[in-house]
Amino acid sequence: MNEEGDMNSSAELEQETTMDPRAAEFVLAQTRERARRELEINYPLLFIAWGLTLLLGYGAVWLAVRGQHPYRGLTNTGGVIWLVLFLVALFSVTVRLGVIGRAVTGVGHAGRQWAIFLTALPIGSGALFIEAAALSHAGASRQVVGVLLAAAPMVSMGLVFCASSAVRLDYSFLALGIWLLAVAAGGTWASPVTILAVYALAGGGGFLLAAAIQPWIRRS
Amino acid sequence: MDPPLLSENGLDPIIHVPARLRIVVTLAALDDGETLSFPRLQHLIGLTGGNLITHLRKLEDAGYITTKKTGNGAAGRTSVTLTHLGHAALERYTAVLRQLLDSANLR
Repeated sequence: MNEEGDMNSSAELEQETTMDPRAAEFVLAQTRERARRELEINYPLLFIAWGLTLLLGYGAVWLAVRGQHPYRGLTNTGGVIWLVLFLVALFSVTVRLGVIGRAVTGVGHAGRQWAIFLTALPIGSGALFIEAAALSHAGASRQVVGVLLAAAPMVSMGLVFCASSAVRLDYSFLALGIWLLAVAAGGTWASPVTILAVYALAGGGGFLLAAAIQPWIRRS
Repeated sequence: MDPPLLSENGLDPIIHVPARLRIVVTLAALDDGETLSFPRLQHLIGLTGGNLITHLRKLEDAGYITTKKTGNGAAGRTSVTLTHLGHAALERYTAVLRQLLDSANLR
């Protein structure tokens, strides 16, 4: 192994063989608890981060555009909204990388799976944003483009969660993915302003509910 | 691979060492077949590199773990997996330990 360091004498190994059963039980329990803390992803915290991201992100945009008649989108709304969205995104990425990275660092397949998952999310949204730009260029109305721009992150998340559930055989991810797709699809029947409130509350709320019931789901 | 000779109290002497018990229990916390990198395992167990290697060799000789090295030279990475034999050995060890503690409580 290329990590070889000093080779200790067998004396240190020999002195460890005098462990009595009670000490062994303590080591067993302590190690199990530490492994659970270090190697398991804190799903409630992760879902809370995602929930707050949707709630704050969509909520901020809704606040910025709610008085628009006719709907104009985020043009001419000032720099504050973009700062808020940047901070929300920064918070989301930081928490997700922290929670997931801490658990899967050095863990073979899990690390790669999560890296692919976290890469697919923004790529999916980005592809739909490009589609929205193409539709705008083709003459689609601001309302139509606004609905697609709002739905893009929800659709992307829903599809990635569903696909991820198949790989990880995780039914809670499947349930969340289906919920996000249902909210995304249902919300598009609303106006481009109302859709933002729907996504904030139903999308963000779905994750927060999932965070609350995670301990029971994981236990079963 | 022949199972190791048991100690007087029936506990597997390969596992019944604090460092190796911690190694086996930590690897058992992963999903089946999942690997853990050497640096991460070292961080979790809290041993020096040389000490950890010595214990890993004992476990590997008993068939309880497998190690895999990828890459060459300084860029090489070692990962460790608990085998089915290792899982079974830990289950047996835990069961015997429970019996010993239960009979000690009854006296």
